[in-house]
Amino acid sequence: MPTTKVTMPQLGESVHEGTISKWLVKPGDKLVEFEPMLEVDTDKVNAEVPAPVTGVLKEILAQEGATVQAGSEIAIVELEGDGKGAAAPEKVEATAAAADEPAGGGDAMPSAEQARAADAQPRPSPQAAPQAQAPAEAAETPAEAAEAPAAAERDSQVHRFSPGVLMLAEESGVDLARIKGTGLGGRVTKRDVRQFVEGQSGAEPAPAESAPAGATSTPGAAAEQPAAAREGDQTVPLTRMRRLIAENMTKSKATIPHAWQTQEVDMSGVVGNRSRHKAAFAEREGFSLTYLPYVIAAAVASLREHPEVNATFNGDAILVHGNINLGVSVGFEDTLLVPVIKSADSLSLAGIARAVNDLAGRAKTKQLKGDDLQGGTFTVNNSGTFGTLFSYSVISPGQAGILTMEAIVERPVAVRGMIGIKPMMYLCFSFDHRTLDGLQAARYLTSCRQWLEAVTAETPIY
Amino acid sequence: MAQTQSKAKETTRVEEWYYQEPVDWRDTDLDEETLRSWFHLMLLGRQIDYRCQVLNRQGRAPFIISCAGHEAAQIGASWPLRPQHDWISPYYRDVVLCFRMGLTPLDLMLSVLAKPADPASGGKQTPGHFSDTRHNIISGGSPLATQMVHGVGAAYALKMDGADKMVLTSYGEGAGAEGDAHEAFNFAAIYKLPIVFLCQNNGFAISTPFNKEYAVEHAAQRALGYGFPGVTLDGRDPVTVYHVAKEAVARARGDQGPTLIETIVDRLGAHSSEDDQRRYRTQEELEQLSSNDCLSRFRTKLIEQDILSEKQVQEYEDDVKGEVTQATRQGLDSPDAKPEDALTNVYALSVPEAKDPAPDAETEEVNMVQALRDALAWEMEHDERVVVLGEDVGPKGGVFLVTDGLYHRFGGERVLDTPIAESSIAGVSLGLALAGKRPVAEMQFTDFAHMAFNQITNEIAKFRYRTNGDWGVPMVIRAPMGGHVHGALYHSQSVEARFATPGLKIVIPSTPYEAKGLLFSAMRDEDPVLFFEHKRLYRMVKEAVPKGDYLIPLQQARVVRAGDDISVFCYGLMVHYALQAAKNLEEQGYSIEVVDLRTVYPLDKDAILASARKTGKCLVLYEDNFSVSIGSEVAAIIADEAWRWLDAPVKRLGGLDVPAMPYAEPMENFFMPNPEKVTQALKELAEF
Repeated sequence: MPTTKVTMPQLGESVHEGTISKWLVKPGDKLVEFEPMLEVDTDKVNAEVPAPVTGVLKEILAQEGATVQAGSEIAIVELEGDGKGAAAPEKVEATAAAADEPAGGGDAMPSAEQARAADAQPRPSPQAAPQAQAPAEAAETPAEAAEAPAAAERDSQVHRFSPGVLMLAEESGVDLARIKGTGLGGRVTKRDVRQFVEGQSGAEPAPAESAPAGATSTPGAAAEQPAAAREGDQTVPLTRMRRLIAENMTKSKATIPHAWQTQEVDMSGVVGNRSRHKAAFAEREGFSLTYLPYVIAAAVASLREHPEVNATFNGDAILVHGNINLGVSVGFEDTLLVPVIKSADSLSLAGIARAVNDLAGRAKTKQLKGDDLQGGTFTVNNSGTFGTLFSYSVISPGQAGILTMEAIVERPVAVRGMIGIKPMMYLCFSFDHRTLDGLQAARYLTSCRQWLEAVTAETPIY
Repeated sequence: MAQTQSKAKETTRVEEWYYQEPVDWRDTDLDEETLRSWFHLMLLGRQIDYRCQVLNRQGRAPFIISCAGHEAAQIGASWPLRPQHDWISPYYRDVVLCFRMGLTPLDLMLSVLAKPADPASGGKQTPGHFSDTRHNIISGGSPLATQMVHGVGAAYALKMDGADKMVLTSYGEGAGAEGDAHEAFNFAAIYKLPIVFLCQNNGFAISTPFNKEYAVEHAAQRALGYGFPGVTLDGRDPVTVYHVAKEAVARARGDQGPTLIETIVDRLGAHSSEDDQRRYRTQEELEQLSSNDCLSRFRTKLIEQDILSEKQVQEYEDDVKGEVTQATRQGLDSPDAKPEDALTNVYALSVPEAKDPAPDAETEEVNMVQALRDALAWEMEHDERVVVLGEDVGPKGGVFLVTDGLYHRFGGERVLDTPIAESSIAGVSLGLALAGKRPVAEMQFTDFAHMAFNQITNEIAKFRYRTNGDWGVPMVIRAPMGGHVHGALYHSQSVEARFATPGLKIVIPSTPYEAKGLLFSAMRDEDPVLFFEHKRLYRMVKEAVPKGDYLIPLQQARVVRAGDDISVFCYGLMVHYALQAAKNLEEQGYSIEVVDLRTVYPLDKDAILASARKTGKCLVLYEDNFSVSIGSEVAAIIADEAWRWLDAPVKRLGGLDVPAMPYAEPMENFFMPNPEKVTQALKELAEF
């Protein structure tokens, strides 16, 4: 004989449980559908609950006094006959109105959009049409997505970034090209960025106030096949600074056809001049006079003479700059900055010395402002201070060249048929071959050399 | 307090209506001096009226509404009142009535000229909307007859206080057709309130004549049907009006209930400066009006009876003109409103502060019904101003038993069973609040709050604003809301978006603890709060709730569950569905933040933006209709102000755009969001 389970009905809109106050039938008794079966108390109503089916009460599962949730099983009933040929229901609720299950019995409910679309759509009338439009479209999207998409479609979002992702990437100095997206169409999600950043444990927060010259121009280092780490290798996460330098240098080398020239400069006059002014200068200015200001002064004076070097290659034209804003490379242990001396041609040598001292000092203490790092039209690099003799420097994007002063070394040289010892220095010049040819570059370099060699002990520095 | 009783046949008493024949002043307690002061006030009303017409024609007063022809009725009816003691709830022609209560010509001019110094509204309402807390003049709005219900509420409060005070509420006969007039009469009659209804019948509702407003011969005959006396009389004679009003006021003070006085008056001018009555009145009719002018008649009588000489009349007229000119001058010189004054007095400046439960407070596992009941009982115990009113809130304890036990504990005077008339439940509460009570009204279901829509959104919400902060309306309207309870179209609605009006706060709690703390804050707020309780939550969750009082501040959302990947913004029942769905997503490795908005109007923008900016993916979840909902607003705020942080389009999951929730379970489930649908929506967002 088939049996069915009787469940506690929901007695009232806001009632979720009831206390069985009295069973009106006992096991073995015959039940008649709609005849009273038990009494239930809730905090809202007290009610007689009728039998949901006709049959014989087989077992009581919830005794008098028990408080049970609506929907819980309270009795087992043996159905009459063989269940009238139909498959016996597994459960019968004690009232006609079924209690809804908030947590759901696993009903495969379509999404609300589909619900709306299905419901609002069947007979589109002119009035209903605009309203129904949006949900209908919304409903199509998941359906389309469910079909096996072509590979192109699957990756269609790889290079599209949401504003939230761009902001987080910027804040955490992450190169989005390095992140594999898990979102729709291969999209990089905010969560992907966050997990990527968390993966780089120990990554130091990037110095927000400092950026190399040209950092504001478009980043976009070409993606490389990452090298596999071998045993003993250590992965050093990129700082924001390292990443920006990498991006800029890659861009420079990828877009600028570099050419390179070197001349040798007799620095005797400069050395003599510096020796003469050194002590007084230090006393007066509070810092010591170095050779760098001389080279900068030479570079600036020569730019005045050869304005085509103070220029930007602009694709279909060359932009020759009216102002000479001279970038000076300042290297530290972990960073490289190129602060800019604005309108450097208006300064005396001492003025240049002061400007260099000021910028370098502030670079060291991270006091540079964004403006200090922008607008450079030419760069002077001083790798000689590290003892180098020849440097093939990389041009800052947007400039036509970079002049590098090397170490000043006393060398035997031929002077009017005799061997003499002189302080000598190589002056290296990397230039954008799109803007300048060897002739112009050599003229410029020559001009620099001649300016430096013309200095004597008597040349005023103020 | 009066109790309704079944009237046995032998006790049946039918109130009477009668027409009051003219009364000679010498048969009353009036004296000559009083008549002269009446003449002064009537003249002042008329001269102000003339001046207003002039200002209107000069373009200085865009809108004017006239009292001309009503002066006699107003002075006679108001004379038995005690200024600064009794209350009035006037209508837009009551210039002389308000003068009698203490309003000055300058006050009126400031209102006509829309100056910030206008005591009625600070330049926010058109002239004719008199209001002044100093003189117990209740502010009126433009919808008709609402003021009658407010007057009734104030009368209930005055009666509770046993202070020998009464209310006069006044209306044009046109307003008598409004449902609020009916509800006011009925409520006042049931509770035998100290109130006088003054009908100023000028025969026209703008252009619609009396016989298209009423099928009875006299407006006051209606009083009989409500169970209180009605009197009709010639309102052009102030003495007769006074004679009747004096008796009505005595009845009110003597606990004998309301009286309806119908004064037959003439509207000498057009309805307003926007109206031209020649379109619907004949030339003869208009000429006859001026020959019957109540002011001329009174002037003639005073001269005939040697109470005033011609010369004295002239002096009075000159004095009043001078008074009006001075008021006009002062009014014109008063500074103009600043544009940003438009932003002031939407809400009170102070709100109740958070208060934690007492550290040693015992807790009890209770459901939301019990938590709400405890809050109500505690507040009634500690604040005798608190009055609970609504349908079946008395001995039955409300249909959901939230007010169970309050009637027996605090008595029928403070726990009132009202007639089934939602507009007056709201409007009476407003009147109670004005007269110093702290009403907590119950609408049996939010679905029926629509009957009170005008009172709630047009009156209650606007009261502080339209009186420029002079009046405040500290009151709460509780109502059960929401679906998944087989409530069908009219017992399931979410009406919060429809009612969202600046001036109101709308709170929807999600748990018993929350409900109690938020209700305390609502009851102590200086502004009106709609407190919608989800029926499904009434008994769904039990949790430990501290005894005693504690306050959870309004307009502060709460992060129920912190997460990094997706924010869900929700309230009420949906908070529970969101939490279940969040758990499902957690199993799949996603971290979901659930934000319970708590106060759905005005929204806690800071909390919404903070969460949206944090996660970048937002699901707005609600069971209201999909479109034009609170959720739509949340989505708009995020789109407006968090776009740069977003990682996915803002997603909404709401009910269907069908008129309301259908009854059959499959359809109801289809309408409602549930944890599976929320899970699905979150998955789609997670995978975006």
